[in-house]
Amino acid sequence: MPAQGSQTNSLLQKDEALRQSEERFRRVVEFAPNAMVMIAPSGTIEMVNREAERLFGYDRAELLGKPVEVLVPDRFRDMHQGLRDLFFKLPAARPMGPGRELFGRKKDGREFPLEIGLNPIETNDGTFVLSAIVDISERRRRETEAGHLAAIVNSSGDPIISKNLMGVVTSWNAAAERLFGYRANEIVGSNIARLIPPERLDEEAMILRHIKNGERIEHMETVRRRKDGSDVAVSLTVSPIFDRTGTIVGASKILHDISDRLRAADRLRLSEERFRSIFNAVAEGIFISDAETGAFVDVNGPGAAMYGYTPEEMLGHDIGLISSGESPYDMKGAFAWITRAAATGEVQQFDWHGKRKDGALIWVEVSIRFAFISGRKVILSIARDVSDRRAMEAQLRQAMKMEAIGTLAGGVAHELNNLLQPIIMMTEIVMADMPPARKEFRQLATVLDAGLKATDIVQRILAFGRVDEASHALLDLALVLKEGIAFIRTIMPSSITVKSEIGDGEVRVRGDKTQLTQILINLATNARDAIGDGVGTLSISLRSVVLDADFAERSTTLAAGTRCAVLEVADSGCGMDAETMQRVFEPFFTTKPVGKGTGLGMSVTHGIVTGHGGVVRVDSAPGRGTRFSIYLPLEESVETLTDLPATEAR
Amino acid sequence: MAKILLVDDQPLVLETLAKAASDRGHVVVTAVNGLKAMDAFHKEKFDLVVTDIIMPEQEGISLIMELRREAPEIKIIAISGGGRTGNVEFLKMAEKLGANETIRKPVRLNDFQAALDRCLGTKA
Repeated sequence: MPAQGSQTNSLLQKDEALRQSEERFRRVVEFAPNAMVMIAPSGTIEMVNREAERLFGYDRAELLGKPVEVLVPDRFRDMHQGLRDLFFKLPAARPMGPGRELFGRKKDGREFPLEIGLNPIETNDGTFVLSAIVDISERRRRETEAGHLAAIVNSSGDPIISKNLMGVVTSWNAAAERLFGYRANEIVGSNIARLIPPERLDEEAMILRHIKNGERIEHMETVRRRKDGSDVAVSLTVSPIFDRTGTIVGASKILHDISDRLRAADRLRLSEERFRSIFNAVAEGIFISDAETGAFVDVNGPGAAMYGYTPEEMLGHDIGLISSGESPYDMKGAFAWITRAAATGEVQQFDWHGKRKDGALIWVEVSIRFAFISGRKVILSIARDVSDRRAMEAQLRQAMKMEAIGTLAGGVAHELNNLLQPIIMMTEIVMADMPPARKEFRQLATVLDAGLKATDIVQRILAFGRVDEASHALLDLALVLKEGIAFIRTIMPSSITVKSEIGDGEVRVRGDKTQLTQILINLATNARDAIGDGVGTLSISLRSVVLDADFAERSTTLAAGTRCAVLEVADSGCGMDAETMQRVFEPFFTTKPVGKGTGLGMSVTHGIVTGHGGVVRVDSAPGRGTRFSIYLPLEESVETLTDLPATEAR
Repeated sequence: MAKILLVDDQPLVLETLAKAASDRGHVVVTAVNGLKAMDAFHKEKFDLVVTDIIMPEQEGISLIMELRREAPEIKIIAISGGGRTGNVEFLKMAEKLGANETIRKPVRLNDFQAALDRCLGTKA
């Protein structure tokens, strides 16, 4: 039966084709990447593929014919049977258990999350279900991780923002919301420029440029604007975001609110400024020096000014810069004090003979203490310029010495006068009864002469004492001096030019004309001797001044604001060294050769000036001549000179 | 001729001044301090007292004060070789307390004798 045969052939061919198709289907199922399980209407497992075996850990022989519930965790088994029955009543291709978490159970009892697609397959034996099962453990794990990361980002105290390369905000955490006041839905999708104050907009371009180059920006301190328009100081760290292919797709920004830190830094800066202004405002000099090297680490303005420097000029230099160099005011001496301060930890006080930038020497009272500042061993010194005070002390000492000498001079004068009395008078008594032609008369005359000369010296010693003010009269000092100068011109050798600068006006002082003339003559005589045999100039001038505070500070008798006549007598002579100047007013002190001077001229001058309520100043240096300045208080009374007795005024 | 009490702690001065006074014909009694002077003053009557100022055992200033209390009419010459102590000028003080003349040592013979004449002449 060819036809039958052909039919058979045809059937066979059909069978073969069917068999091949089925085989293809089986292979597709068998090697599918998803686990496949075919369930019979009875709920038993009809077929599993290789992936299903691997996923659930069973050999397929163990599963075939078993209820599908073996693959379901115990706790879901009852529910699963009900759901399966339900599905078979309304079979349709759909995901299983939408909205629920599904779990599979491995042979070893472990559970894992899965997704199942259900596909009803109609057969002659009824509706079968082909379940495609996907193990979603990995996805879940990743989702959990992402959730974690999201939670971390969201719970971060610092704002974390992401944006794309166009500057559009793509994420916004809770802290960002708190800092800026925008909710995520308000800002995500808008440009980050909303957060940037207009004057700083170019920063964003700069940031994006770095990000596009794959560079990170760390701790950039800047200012951002809140929703309410207020600004906030922030520190930004911006990192590029790469996608899986390594392409830069955006940037993540972590911001840190640094207002507090800035406020603290501000306070620190203010405190530092305040300290610095105090440091520079105090009258005392403050020096901070390295304890090891002695180098100045910090010096305040007054401290530097004390030595004629700016603080910058002193920094790095050591104490040698301001040392007079004489022991113990040298480096060695300074280190002795520093060592003592370090060893005892106590404040050391001493006077320092320092040298200014201009070379002038000054006395400085110093307190030093060893200290640690910023972990560095330093010497903290507070210094006060006491040059004026020391000068004043020297002047007082000098005045007291003069007073003592004055008292002594008075005592000596008294003793001498008591001896001169019999010498002179007894000589005169003897001479009174003697013919002048006798040889003895002339010899006694010599005794008398010597006695009278001695008397003169004693009178000058006594003049060193104060002059009684009551005997003073109002007079025109200019006139007194003009008369005195006329006399001086007659006694000066021609080698000495006498210059006089005395104005026409009256210069009224209260005093003794004879004594004031004596002053002029004493000073002129001194000048003549200082010039010696050479050629020179004697300048005499008179002017009036109002004493300033500086002058008054160095005077024990004259107050600031006092109007004074100043008589200056200057010579171009040999000048004096400091030691000579110091002693120039002492009685019997003389630099003149024996027999040329008594050493009383200047002490008498001092006595007279003091007696007139005045002050004598001397300014001299070896080879530079000498200038004596005599300050006498001007008479301010309304009494006119014409009211004066003629003998005093004219 | 007058009777003069001469007071000075320096024997050489006493001797000299006594000689100068006696040469003018006066009778001179000497004392070396104020206490001795008062003793002498109480024993005899004097026309003139010439006293030094600075002396041990009662100096001249208090002597003058005492003399002025006891004998307001007596003539007194104060004489001193000293200047002053501090602001005190002894001779000015003596003058204020009633000395008729003040003389600074060393005094010339003629000046001293002239002072004696002035004082004693006024009395006469």
